[in-house]
Amino acid sequence: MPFVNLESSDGDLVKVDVDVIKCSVTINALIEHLGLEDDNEVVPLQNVGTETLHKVLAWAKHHKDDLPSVDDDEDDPPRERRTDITTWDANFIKMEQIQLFDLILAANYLDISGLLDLGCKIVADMIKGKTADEIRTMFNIVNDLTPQEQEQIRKENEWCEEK
Amino acid sequence: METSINQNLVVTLPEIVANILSYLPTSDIMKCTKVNRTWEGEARTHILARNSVQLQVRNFKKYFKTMRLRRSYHKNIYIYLHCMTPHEISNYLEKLAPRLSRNWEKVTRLKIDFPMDLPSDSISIPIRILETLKIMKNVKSLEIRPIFRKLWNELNVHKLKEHLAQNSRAFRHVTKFGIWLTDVADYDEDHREPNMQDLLEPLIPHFFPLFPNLKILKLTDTPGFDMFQLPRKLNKLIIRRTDRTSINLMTPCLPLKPVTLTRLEVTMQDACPYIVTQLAPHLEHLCIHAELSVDSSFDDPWIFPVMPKLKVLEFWISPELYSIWGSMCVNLNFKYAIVDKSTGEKLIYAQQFPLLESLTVRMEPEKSSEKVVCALPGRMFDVVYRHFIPRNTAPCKTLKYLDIPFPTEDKFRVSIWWKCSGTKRCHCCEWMYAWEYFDVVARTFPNFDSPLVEEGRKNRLMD
Repeated sequence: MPFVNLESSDGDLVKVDVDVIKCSVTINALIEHLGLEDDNEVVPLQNVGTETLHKVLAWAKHHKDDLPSVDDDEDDPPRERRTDITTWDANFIKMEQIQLFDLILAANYLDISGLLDLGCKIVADMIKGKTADEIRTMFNIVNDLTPQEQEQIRKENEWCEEK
Repeated sequence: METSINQNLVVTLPEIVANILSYLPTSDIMKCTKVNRTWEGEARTHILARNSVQLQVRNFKKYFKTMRLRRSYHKNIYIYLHCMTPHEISNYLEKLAPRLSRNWEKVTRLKIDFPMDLPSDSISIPIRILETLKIMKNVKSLEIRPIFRKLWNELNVHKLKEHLAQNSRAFRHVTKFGIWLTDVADYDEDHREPNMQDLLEPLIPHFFPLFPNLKILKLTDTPGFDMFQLPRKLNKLIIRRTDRTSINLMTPCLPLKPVTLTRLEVTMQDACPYIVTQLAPHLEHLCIHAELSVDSSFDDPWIFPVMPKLKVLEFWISPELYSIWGSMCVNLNFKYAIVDKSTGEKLIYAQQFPLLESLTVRMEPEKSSEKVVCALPGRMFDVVYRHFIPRNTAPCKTLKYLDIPFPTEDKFRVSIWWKCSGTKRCHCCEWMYAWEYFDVVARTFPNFDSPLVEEGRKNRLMD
């Protein structure tokens, strides 16, 4: 069974079954295009710490046999996506916000859509029902919109209300 | 320090913000337009794709003036031409055309009223509309709402057929086409033709050649027509009746070769069992809308056919059905083709739907009936319990996704009129504990992994 060595940003090496990490488009592309056939080859992941990498791998291992999900109808306008998650995922994602954000960034960097979606569902849940002010406070976001921009946004929003 | 950097990155990287927003209802996304520039940009993209705008003669200039500044145009527009004279329509489309020409790339879904006027003294409205549509080269989904008026006659039908023939294969970009017939009063209501259904019937098939790459056809409240003329490459057929009359199919069988039609959405009325049965061997996605119908010939249960390729099954129940049935459950009135007489199993998923991955049974969203729905929680459990998770059902191991109502109270009433020999009007009910419901769900769908179901089952211990 082929393996690949991943090096975390902390400098730790983790040997991973290629079959497990195939969900990562980034690593898959590296393996396919760069021909990492030698078992001693190391893939450096400068943006992923050891702790986060282990979490990513735990998720990937559990989901390695997942079938592609049933597609939503593409002919209809996009709607609010489903936020339901499985029991395993719900237990897996129970973590501090700091770790959750690390995990989301790792999933984004490694291009693992299932894991990125899971993290984003949790953040979306935090946002639901909040005002813009509350969202900014929650995530330390600075409002960089000028008064002119805010006025334009208000005008455009009038055309964007749900019918 | 690292933490705050990462937190900052998650909420500033546009691709992550876009993903987060995709899980929010539109009302929440609207609030996100006020957070900051990045969030506004992503929120705007979502909103302009989800919502539509209705462009009318009285508002279109203001719309383009407001949205022009940042080129924030909707992807989904409806060109409203109702209650206008042919002259007004002609003028309006003339003024609209240059604005659309500058922004045609943005629009991928277009709905347009289609007045069938052909006055002899000016350019015909259908020709004008077809010319407008030609500007919109990025439209994938096109829906027309035909409007007939006093000028309509046999000669017009002939002329329109000619116009359509001249435009054969002109709309290669359109993959979804819909005809939506509504019985709405027009400005000259007194002269409105009474039978739009008869007028439209011979015309419907003449639209199809305009779209050589048509994959999806949606017919809403349209008359029956010769179904042999359905486009050959069709992948999905949607036949809806929302006006309570029945679906009328003119020919005794649907064209089944080549077998491309794998998705069907249909209103549950008299023709529904026929269409479903005809397409059953090939369907991968079936969506049925149970709606109020004046048709009463549907008293005998129909036999739900075996569907060897079906992956997605959806049932949407109209709240109106509950209002007429009073306190009783809604009877979907079908039986499954496969019944194990020795064990009494009514539904054997592995044989009936061997590949089923996703099941949805929900109340149809209908804003005007919200009060009814809220006043009657638990109603939907009857439908689910009776038709999809009857006790003693063999587990459906293929199912991964389930969208059904779940109880929020400890126990609820379910109707059992089918158990007692009485009529559908009997009010017999029995109590069902929520944990029992969750337990049946978990046993029927062992691979539907949901924390909600797990939690619901555990409450048994507390009872």
